[in-house]
Amino acid sequence: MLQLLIAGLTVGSEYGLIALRIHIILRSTRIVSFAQGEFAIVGGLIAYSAVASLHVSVWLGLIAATLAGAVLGLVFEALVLRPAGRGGETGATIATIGAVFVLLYGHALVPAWGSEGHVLPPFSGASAANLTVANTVIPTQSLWVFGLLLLALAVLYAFFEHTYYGKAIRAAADNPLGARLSGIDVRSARAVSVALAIALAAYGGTIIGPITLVGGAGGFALTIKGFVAAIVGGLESPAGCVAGGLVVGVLEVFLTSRLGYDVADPIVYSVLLVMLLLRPQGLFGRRDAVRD
Amino acid sequence: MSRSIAAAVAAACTLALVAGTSSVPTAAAPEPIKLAAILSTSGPSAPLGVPESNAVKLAEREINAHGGINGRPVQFDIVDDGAKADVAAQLATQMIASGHVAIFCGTRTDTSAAVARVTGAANVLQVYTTPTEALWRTPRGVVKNVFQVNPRDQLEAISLLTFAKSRLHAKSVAILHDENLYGSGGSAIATAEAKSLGIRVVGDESYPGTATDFTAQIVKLRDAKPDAIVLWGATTTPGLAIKAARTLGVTVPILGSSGILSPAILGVAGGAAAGEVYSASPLAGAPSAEQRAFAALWDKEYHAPIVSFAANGWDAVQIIAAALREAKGKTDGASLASALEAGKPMPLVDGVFKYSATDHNGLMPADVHIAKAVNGAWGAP
Repeated sequence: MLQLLIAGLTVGSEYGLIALRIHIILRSTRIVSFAQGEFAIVGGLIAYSAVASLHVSVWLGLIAATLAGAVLGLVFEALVLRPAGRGGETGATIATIGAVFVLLYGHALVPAWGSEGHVLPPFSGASAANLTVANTVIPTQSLWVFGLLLLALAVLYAFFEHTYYGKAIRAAADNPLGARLSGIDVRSARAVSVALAIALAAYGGTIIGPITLVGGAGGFALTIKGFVAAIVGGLESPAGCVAGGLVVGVLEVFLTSRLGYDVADPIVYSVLLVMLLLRPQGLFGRRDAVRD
Repeated sequence: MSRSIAAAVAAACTLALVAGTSSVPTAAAPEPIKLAAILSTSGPSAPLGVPESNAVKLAEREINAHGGINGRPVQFDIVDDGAKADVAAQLATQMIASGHVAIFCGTRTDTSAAVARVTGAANVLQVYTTPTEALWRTPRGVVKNVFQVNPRDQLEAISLLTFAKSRLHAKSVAILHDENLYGSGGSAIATAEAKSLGIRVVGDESYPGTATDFTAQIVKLRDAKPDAIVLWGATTTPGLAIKAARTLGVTVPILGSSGILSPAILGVAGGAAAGEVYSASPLAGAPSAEQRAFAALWDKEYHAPIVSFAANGWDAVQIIAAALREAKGKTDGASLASALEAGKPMPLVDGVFKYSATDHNGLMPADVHIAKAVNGAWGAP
């Protein structure tokens, strides 16, 4: 039971990070981005290239991927979200679906990446022993995933709650006109939000990489699981998004254990519909936060 | 001086004119035989498709260097289906429409099956290199135009489970398999073979091809306490499954289908940390003369040891070539198939192929050997 819980929390951390990124972009641009999973894949591949080609440590690879993700985010906002957003939020959302395929097939064209998965070294080194508690194996990389997820949450909380620029971004998202009148550059605020979200995607794709491989074609399926997590936890609540991810991850692993993967997976996706019908604000969202 | 130059130019022009209008006929170059290879050189099956593709190129060159087939060179057009069945089917339709008389497809069971529907309707010979025999052996009988160039699932299962019983003394096994056609089919065959050998099957779990977490499946199988785990899958996902099993403390031997027989998968599994892992392969054991010859050619061209998928690709081309030679000028699917069904033994890298009207696999259990993972590479057990 504990073993399944550890696995569920590890998988759920990835879903929670995706949900958080969806929240950040949605909140700042009112656009639902379907490309979050693909950006995580690309981020992991950037870390892989840094480690395999430049022979740096996986920690430097993580930093490089996160910074590269921020740059990619600025480009994505300028070239996709902003122009597509002029035609309305629906058009911009559809544009992100296009971005999914550009990233999916585009990354496979990079000779060093191709379309298959690649091994990223564990953060504690290949020879690090896993922890065993009460007959339960806790992989060291899982501990890193939990820890680095909490670190990311703490940094984001500090940024949005306790820095001038973070508060300005929140103001620009909540009330663009009011923010403009207060002298806040709303366009820059949105760009920084998207850059943060994509940097977080690259960060997430790298920290889970030693467990799942980096690369491959699983990005879109991850994004959908991220949506389920966001709806379960509450799309308007960052902590809710992360909590939703953990709930979905644990549910998925336990259902697979009891019913088999082919039954568990449809049940997890149908949770999305059930939540939208019964509690659209999510487990941790406020009822008045539900928008039309 | 100017007269000499003029005379020289006139002579040269005269010679050129004579040569150009010479009555000695020049032979027209024979028209190449157009063949197609629809392989998964991108996507999740690229570790299988890329060596197959390289082997096709090598085989094409060797055949043409030795005079081609019946005096005609072969021209293999290699296209990528991206591991997608619908794309493979479209490519097959295009290849047949543009005059390709035989198709090697392909890397995966689903793409091969999709193309088989096209080649069957068009009466075009198809060879494929996955272990799933259901593409040619159907409830309605043997599919005339489709031939398998790989030990079929049953031969692999017999080989693996006989090894498990006789060498590992396993009395029970648990099965972990990909949920796709290849994995589910292999699981069913392995279950049947285990039972026929008196080995109990204590668990059967599946995973999706894109799975990254196997905890639920492996904990269930671990708790069933099998003496060995049979793993039926391909691409890098089985490597993750092996890694997950070892992380969760599963130490029993893992016997994998030939789909895991690549060094890349052992790398994913953790190299030496993958522990005791076996797979079924015609390339394990003492190499035959054909295997040595192919290994030398391959090493000369690609500076690497051969992998099973390269052997499959090479044999696929040789089988098509043999069919064309024996059919003596006929290129329709039925004639090429009849040429193969005549049963002339073909000693190739994967074994001695001897097809018949009821056996489009052509190999025997003795052609399949066991390979063992040793320090991140495949070797003899």
